[in-house]
Amino acid sequence: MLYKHLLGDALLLVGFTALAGSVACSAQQSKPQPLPYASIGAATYDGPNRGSSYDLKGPMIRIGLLAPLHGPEEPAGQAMVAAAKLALQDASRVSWPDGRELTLDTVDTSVPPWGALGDEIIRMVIQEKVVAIITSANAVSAHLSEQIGTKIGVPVLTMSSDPTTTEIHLPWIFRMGPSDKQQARLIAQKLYQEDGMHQVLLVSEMGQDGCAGATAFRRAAHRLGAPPPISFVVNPSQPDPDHLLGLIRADFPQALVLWTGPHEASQVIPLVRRAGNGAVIYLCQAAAQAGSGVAFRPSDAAFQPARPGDQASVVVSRQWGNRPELPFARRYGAEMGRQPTPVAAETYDAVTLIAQALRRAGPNRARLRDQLAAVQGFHGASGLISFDNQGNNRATLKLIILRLFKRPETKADARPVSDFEAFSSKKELLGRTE
Amino acid sequence: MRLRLLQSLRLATLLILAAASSLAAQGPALYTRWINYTPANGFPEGEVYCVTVDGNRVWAGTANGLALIENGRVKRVFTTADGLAGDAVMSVAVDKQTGDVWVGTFGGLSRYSGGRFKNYTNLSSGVANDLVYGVAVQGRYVWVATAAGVNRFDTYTGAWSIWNETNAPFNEPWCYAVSLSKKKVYVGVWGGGVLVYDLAGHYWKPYRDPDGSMETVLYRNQGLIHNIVSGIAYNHETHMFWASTYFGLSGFDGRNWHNYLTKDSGLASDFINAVQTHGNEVWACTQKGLSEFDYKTKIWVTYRPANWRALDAAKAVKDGRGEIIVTRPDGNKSKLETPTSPAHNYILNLAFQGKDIWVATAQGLSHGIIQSQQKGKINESSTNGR
Repeated sequence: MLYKHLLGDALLLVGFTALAGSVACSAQQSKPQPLPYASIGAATYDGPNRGSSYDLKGPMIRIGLLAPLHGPEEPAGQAMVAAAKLALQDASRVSWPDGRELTLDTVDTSVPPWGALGDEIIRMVIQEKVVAIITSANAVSAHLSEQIGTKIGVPVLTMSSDPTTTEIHLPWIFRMGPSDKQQARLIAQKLYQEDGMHQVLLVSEMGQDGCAGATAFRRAAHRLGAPPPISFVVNPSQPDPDHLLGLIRADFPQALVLWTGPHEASQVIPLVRRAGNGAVIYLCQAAAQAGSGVAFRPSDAAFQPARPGDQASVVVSRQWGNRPELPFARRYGAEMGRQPTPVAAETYDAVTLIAQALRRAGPNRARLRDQLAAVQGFHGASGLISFDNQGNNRATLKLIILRLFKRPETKADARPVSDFEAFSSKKELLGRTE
Repeated sequence: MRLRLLQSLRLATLLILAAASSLAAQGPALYTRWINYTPANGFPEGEVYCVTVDGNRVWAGTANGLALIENGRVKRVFTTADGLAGDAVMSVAVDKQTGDVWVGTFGGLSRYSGGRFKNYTNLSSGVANDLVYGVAVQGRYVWVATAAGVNRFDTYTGAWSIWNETNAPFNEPWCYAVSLSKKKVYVGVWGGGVLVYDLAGHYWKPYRDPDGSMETVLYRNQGLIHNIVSGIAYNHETHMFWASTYFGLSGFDGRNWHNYLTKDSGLASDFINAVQTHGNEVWACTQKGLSEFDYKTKIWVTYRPANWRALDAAKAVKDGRGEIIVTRPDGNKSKLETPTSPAHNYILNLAFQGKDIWVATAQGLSHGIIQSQQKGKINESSTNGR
């Protein structure tokens, strides 16, 4: 009783602080802001090589695919490859002009990024003459491809959410998925504003992807006047699960935000279950890839908004097109034994977009770029895709609530829940919020 | 009919030169004659990424090898078949003391010495990465800008030094270009701004976009205009360094920044592949032409093919004519047409050879010449076409 009383006071205090914060925020916003000297404009390309003499020769038209194919991220990479192959099959139902064949040139990004990976991308671009490159969610492979693509003139379609990739207006890069900033703002809005949460644990992985995502989330929280999240950085080479478990038990967070790869997510999620405090888990799109332990379900009909305090859920931000009636989701499910993740669906869409552009442009990188830049209203497996003049996908983002379960009222009520996957298969709700 | 056409052409040329002469009296001299090196005269196909002048020799790095031009002719094209580390050549530097040619490729670093190549790759040497974007020679040291940091190679001892995010203030390791002064090393970093290494003090100083935004420029001369730096050049006369970005041009005089965008200058495009500078001139290699900025008179001059907007269309007719856009400090613009032009509007780099310039374009190497008004020259330029 005393605890509840104190909790009530604490909540009131938090509410007051939040109110004061919002007033301060409004006051700040009402001050006239200087207009920027310039906005970075559209990414036009006034370069060469659209002429037919620059068409790629040979019986094969190759699409480069960068994906992790060994080590802990292998399931995510294999999911991308499987999705890309399905798209190739679909794109090749009608034969290609001159008896050509559309193929994949796959590069394993599990190799050291500063050695073999750069060489492999160069091999793809210069020797294999890939017509375009698709990169995984990994920022390093996206950056290397972006640089080489800009220098040599090769379209790059990336799953990376890194801001130094997604916020750059270069004419050769197109982003299939949401940026860190978009994801962070959506999660923060849901978490702080809609659900009124205030105690959040931010778990990010060591390295560029985790750092960029964590920064984006802290900024999103700050923007809403929310208290800064408690931060925990996972070192993949020296994981410290006991420390994280202790943190979850001690701080009793209402929500965890995971900005990690799928492997780290697969390690963190069971810890949250063990802690048993029913914290809501929000995953960025990269964390929810194959190998994370997160299972997507083929229906989005049973949406119920998460209510603060009485639910625990796993939520992933994404566009939504993962319905069972879509041939891709059905065929992917039959082949892989599970529903596609958002990144897998985006990979399928990336190959399909390239194939469609190739039908119009022919095997020419510059003309292919022009066709990709003009993509509007494409109904893909990952949702509606429209590229703006900066190569960003303008599709609306959604939060997918994968499963809900009871959150204990106090620390004392916390109980470990059963195995994550087993639990999720028994009791699952699925839905979305704008 | 034909006679009338020739007379018109001659009159037009004279008018151009008169106008050019008039402009030159008030601003920079104009390059009205261009000689282009393309596959038609033995030059490799595809983009020319870099060009370096060594006396009468001109080295051009292309998508398909390293070309050597001597006395106006393509003397030789080196490829991996000749021992070059990679066919896509991003940078070339000549050691003035030894005559060695250092070549940065997308397959590692090559040293051309005594008629042979010796290669330095990530596996065989201390070079940080095989994607070598920039190279510069400073006495016994060779500085190398790679996709994974900066190297310094000691040609006397064979020792490699490396700077990256682990031992220097790199927030990104992707180094695109390197330029040298006597006391400092300037490195352009993709996403990381400009890093300057003090040779005496052995420390790095970063210069970054102060607004931190990749989508806006908050104040005009706020600092470096954008963190994605595509090129860097130190001016030994003015002691300024200039950084090209894909979003504008920045110069730093040691105290103040001087930034330029197309919106309020004569810069042809904010998408700049490289920058070079000497004397009062700053040259921005943009995707819409080659822009020269005379820092003293504040006059901008842009060179490009006259039909540049249609140049890349599948059935474009390349008539070889060029256009010169002169933008005065008050914003007034004037346009001249010339019988010849750079090979393409997409400019990738530039080098100086006395008063001449050599320009790396997306479809060939171009030699720009300040033409005199002598009659013979006029006829030559009129009849030479490209």
